[in-house]
Amino acid sequence: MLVVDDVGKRYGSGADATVALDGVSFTVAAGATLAVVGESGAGKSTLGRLIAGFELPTSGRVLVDGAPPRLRSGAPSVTQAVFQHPSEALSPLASIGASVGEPLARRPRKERKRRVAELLELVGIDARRAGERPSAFSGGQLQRISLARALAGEPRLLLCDEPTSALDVSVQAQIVNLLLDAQAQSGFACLLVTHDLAIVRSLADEVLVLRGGRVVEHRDADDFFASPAADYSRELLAASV
Amino acid sequence: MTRATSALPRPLRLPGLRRRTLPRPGAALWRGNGALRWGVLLLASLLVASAVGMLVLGDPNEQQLADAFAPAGTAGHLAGADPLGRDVLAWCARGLWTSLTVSFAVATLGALIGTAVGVVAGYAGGIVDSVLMRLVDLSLALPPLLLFIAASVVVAPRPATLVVLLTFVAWIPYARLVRAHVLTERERPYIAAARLAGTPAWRICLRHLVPAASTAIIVLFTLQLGYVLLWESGLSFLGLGLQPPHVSLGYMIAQGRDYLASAWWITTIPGLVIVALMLSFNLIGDGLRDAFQLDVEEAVHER
Amino acid sequence: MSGETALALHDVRVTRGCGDGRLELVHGIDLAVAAGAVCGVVGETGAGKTLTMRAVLGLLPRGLESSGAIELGGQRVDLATPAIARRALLGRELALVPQNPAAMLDPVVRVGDQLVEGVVRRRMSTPAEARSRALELLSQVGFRDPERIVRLHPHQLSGGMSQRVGIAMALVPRPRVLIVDEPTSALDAHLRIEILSLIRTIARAERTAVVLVSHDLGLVARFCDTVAVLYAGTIVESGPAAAVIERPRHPYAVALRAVAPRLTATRRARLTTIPGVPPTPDSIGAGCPFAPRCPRVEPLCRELRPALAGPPQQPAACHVVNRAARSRAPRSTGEAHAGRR
Repeated sequence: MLVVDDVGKRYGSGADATVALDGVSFTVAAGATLAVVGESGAGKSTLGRLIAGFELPTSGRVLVDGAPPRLRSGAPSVTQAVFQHPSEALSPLASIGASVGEPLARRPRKERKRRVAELLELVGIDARRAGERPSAFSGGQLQRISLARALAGEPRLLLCDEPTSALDVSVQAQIVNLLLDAQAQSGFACLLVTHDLAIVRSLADEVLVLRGGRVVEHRDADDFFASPAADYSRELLAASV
Repeated sequence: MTRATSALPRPLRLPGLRRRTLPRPGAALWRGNGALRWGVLLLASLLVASAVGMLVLGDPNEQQLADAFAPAGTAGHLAGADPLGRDVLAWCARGLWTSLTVSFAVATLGALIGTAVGVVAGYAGGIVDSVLMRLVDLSLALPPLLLFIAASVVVAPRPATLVVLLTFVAWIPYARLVRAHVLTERERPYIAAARLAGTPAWRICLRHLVPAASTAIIVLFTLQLGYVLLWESGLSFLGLGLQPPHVSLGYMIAQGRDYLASAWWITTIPGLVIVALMLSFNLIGDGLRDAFQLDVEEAVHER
Repeated sequence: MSGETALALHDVRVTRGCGDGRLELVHGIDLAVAAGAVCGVVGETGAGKTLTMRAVLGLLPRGLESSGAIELGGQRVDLATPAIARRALLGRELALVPQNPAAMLDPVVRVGDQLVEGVVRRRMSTPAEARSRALELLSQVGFRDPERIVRLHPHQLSGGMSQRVGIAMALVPRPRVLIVDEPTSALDAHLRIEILSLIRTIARAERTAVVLVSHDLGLVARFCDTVAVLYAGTIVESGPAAAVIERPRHPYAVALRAVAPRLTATRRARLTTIPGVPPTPDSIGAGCPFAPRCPRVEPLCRELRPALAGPPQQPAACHVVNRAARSRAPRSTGEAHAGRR
């Protein structure tokens, strides 16, 4: 579903160039989840942007469902996303119903409303609240609404960018469950970008460790947590209290 | 900076401030906001006075040379008469209306043009942004007064042409302000989500970016009203703006310039009207700014 | 670590509004922190931990009022007195490291100048003394080149660096108590450990009492001596950090432990969750605030709000758990006698 083939990203040119990514390769199959872990500055952000199609790689290629990522107007992208800060992920001036319905803009109004209600119920939000603004909801609820919007786009790939880092502990568990259920139901591939190894344990099939733009380790999740190969990975695990 | 960042476009956050939302309309804006209340009251009073005056007092351009220099308080000329016998009060009533319409027209046109330029420049970035911003720089480089002097030689000064001229100058601050807001806002995740949802660029600009800058646009609008008023009056005073038969407060002020000691009402009364208008604009502007600030503060303390 | 109490909170409450619309947000917090110890205040969003700290510091936003008292170094201060009157304490005895210290730093002033500004302005020391203290503090918080740091502007600091500068700033007037609010939410894992170790070291060295507000149980267990767990504006359990977090008594604390994602979870297995949501301040009834979501709820729980009771070293606010503890107590005394013989 997702193919990242020897991707590199360089900003600037000549001696001053910054290399954000270098020689990154991996694939993610439909229905599977790959976790990309690493510290800030490791290149996780850049990788996410390349996969979403906001930027182009300077070398290598990215294929989502067989084609390079393209942002077209008029139809939702095959890649959808859930972001770190729930309060920033939804337009503060629009109702949540309008936000969730944004990927469905081309559909007739009645159908859109019905689908929005369906999706809200699916993520555990009372559909009658579709007319309310984000300020009326808690962080956990906003994250669910965010997921509802992502699902509205019927994604083949879901990018989860620190989806639980800004949430309380008890709410994190709910979001994890929601992601597992949604993926089981829809069968999308999932790319989980996070520094929180605990949710990686629950969600990921494979783990990819990035450091300084390069892949340090890429293994099956169970193997990774049982005995990480790289020293750096061991450091990361040790630091996770 | 080592800090756990999100993978997709990083939101630029003003430290300590959370999301701004449009202020709740109606009651919340009004309550406890003295400046806004007084400002609106004053403006409304002036409007009503102007309307009544225009209906009741007859043609301000009518010259009754017999009544020239009639002092304030004379029958038929409550505010006196000017050197040509024109009724000052009738002039003020009509002039107030002219000033209001010109100010609002310029501020509105400026807002529309400036916002459009700002949004396009901010969202598109790259060459489009550079070109548009050079256009802004160019416009800034032209001294407005010289522009008006030159224009007045070529074009007959009428309210419509004055509006066009003043708009040339008025759109610039909007463009810069809106562009700045858009540059910040477009990094926010919900804009990224909108792009992923397939929302076309024009829709993102109209539905998300412009509303996000709306509080700033509104505040700038109220400030601009005052500036345009002063420009219009000033130009008319200098003889570059509106001249009879068009009725301008600035013109009447100029008429009384040589008679300040003897016939004070010719200059002073129109002057006071301008002061009252400015005051109402400023009060409304202050009130709105306070209301928006309050909303930001409350958003911060909601936790 | 002596038993001398540096900071004590007595029945601290925060209310909003007055008359019929009066709503209590924080319901009587009692807390004691010893000099040189680190006390964790744990709770989720809306539990009231930040509000409590703001009440203590006199930084409550408009519309909120505090009551109760705090005892600081033997001196009792009534929280009902206006914050302005209490300003003398703030900054001198009580210091705050806010959640995002980068936001606290003035972007146009150099770091060094900001460090000395507070104390010099209040004439607590001469500029020369303040400057040498600033350098001393910067090395204490882990900078190897304080002379270079003092000349930098805030935007030249990384996240971890500004966090440390924030701590240094708070320590300049040698406060008796340091309140640290969610110190590491914006930092990477290894930096968190560094910063928290630093805070603990400073606490021991300077005999400063530290109150650490956080929602991260793991960090609190590792770096705090005692902990108080907050739920819906009340303390539901307190005691030694290791005990409360590893062997919690109160059903909420037990649930938190159960639902926290952990490294030992099974791959792709659903996590347990706490049903329902935390109550809003206006929907808490007469009984225990956790009753609607509690797996061990009984009719009494809904009628009578439980007080903190039970074993004195780890009290919990729960009828059910405390009753079980009481019925066990006589037997254990007998066993203890038997064991010692």
